[in-house]
Amino acid sequence: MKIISFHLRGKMAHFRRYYSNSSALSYFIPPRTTLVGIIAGLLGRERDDYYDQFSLDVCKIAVAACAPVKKCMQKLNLLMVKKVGDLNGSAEHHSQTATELIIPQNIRTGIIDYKIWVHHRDKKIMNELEQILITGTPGYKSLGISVGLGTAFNLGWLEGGLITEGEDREENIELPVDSVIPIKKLIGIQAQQMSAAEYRLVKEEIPLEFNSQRQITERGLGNMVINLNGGSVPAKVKSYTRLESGSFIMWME
Amino acid sequence: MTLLKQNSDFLFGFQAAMTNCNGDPDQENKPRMDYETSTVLVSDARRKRDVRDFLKHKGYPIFVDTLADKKVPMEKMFEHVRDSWLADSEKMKLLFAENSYLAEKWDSLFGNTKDDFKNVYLGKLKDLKKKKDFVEFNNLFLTEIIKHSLIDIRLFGSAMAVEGVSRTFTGPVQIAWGYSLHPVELVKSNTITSIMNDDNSTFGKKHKLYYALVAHYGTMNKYSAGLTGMTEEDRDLFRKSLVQGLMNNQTDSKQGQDPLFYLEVVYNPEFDGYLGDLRRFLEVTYTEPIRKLEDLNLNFAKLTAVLKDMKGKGYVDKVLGWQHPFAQADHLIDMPEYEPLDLWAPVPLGE
Repeated sequence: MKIISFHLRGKMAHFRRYYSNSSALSYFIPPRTTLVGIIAGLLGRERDDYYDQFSLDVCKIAVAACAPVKKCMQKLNLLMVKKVGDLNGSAEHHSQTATELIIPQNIRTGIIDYKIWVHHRDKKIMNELEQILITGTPGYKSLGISVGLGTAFNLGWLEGGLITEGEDREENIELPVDSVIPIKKLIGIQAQQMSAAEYRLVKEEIPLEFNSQRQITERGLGNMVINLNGGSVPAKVKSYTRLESGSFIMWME
Repeated sequence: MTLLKQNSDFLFGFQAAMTNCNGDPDQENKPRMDYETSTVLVSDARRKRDVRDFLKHKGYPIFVDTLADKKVPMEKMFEHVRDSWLADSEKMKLLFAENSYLAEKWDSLFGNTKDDFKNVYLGKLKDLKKKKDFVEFNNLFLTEIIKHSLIDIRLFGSAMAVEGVSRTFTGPVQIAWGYSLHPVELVKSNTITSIMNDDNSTFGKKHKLYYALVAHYGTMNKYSAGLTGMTEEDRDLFRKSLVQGLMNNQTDSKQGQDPLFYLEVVYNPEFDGYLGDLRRFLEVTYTEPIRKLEDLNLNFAKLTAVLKDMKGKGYVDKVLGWQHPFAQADHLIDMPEYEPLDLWAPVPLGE
């Protein structure tokens, strides 16, 4: 199966946790739904009309955090919107919302770096994506919006687009996994093979899929194990995807 | 008025000497910081506010604002914009000429009246209010005139709710949070007592930085511009407002801020892309303590090389730039060649 991989990079990100309300907390990695939005944006798709086209059944996405990140809390003075008439800031008070920003260890010298792998069953979409992502220049292309890491103002960029072959396999096996690991498919982390200094593992429940009404589907949430320091994690898993290069990834499902 | 048809990447650098370039309301209004690396952060909202305030002073109506210095809900704002359009038959005729679909709808709803639009519209408003055709017309009409009337929507986008139908426009101009290109030091603040009157006084602290050279990165997107109606004239207004808006914000905490440079890579209309955050190509060296621009060297050589590559491939239409006339330019090293813009040139007055 053909897989397109690329790096999504930036200086700052905010992937808002869907349940956060009075504060805007962030996931450490772009959720699958966010990545679908970024991909659909690159392809020039209209806002809110592509959710079915990128459902879990037809589009597979894997992600890895490649550079160490940290969180930084900032209060943002947002508009208080209780009814639609307040959208222009006419409400008496503003809402001071604590916002979690994802930034590199050092924002001046470092970057946030996610590696994304995509396979779409529709060959036409894969070809379109290839046209956009495999550029061979320092820049990236987009038929729609510019790339934002989570929110529109967290501007980022894309680099290193590549095409690889991969093969899905179902067998219980121990291997080093390059991407984040869905807990559903995880038998165990091989902790004895890990030295503490190199790993910073967290578990996050992230959104995977919306229906056309922007509601999370029944299978639309998944727990993922993420290595915040980047690099592969030795694990025993139920299924995986072997890439041409000999490395292993797992789709967010 | 030509719609924007080229993408841009831009870089905006300013210096802040003995100022607080963006206070955090949750931290006694101390400058926003990443304390681990002593880097000061400045939000995109701060830049947009400067631009909005400046354009407002120049007489441009803006959306996130007040009407005659009173905060009014969005519907009132819409009504005001709507009525001022309806009252101006020249503007209405132009709108219909540009928008044949709207003209047809108007004819079928209001008949073939080509004058006195306001009375015809308001006269029939009550009867038509519930009609599906009218709601559809009204939606398009309001969206269209709002985009024409309010420059901040054309630049930065907005969430709008017209007659109960809400739509979100992503702004063609996006500005990333700025950060200082070097570590900064906070000035130790002593408590200040302000005496309000004989019985009352307040105690507070003023938090400031010794010096920061802050850089924002941003993009302008031709596809989003098509949706909000941002024009080439708007782009010119934006560039100037970014520079002049920062200079015009002379409050106590913002005195000492100066725009230093603006660089913009304007891509060819056929090129559907961006380089992405230009700040990753900058290199900064410094000697501490950093108290002024002269204590820093900002090297653009990598950016210059990348732009040369992009130009060689034919993606770049032009590189535009501006520098503060009194900045010590010899500390901005190897800047890419650019066509100079005069961003201090006066901005024309709005309506």
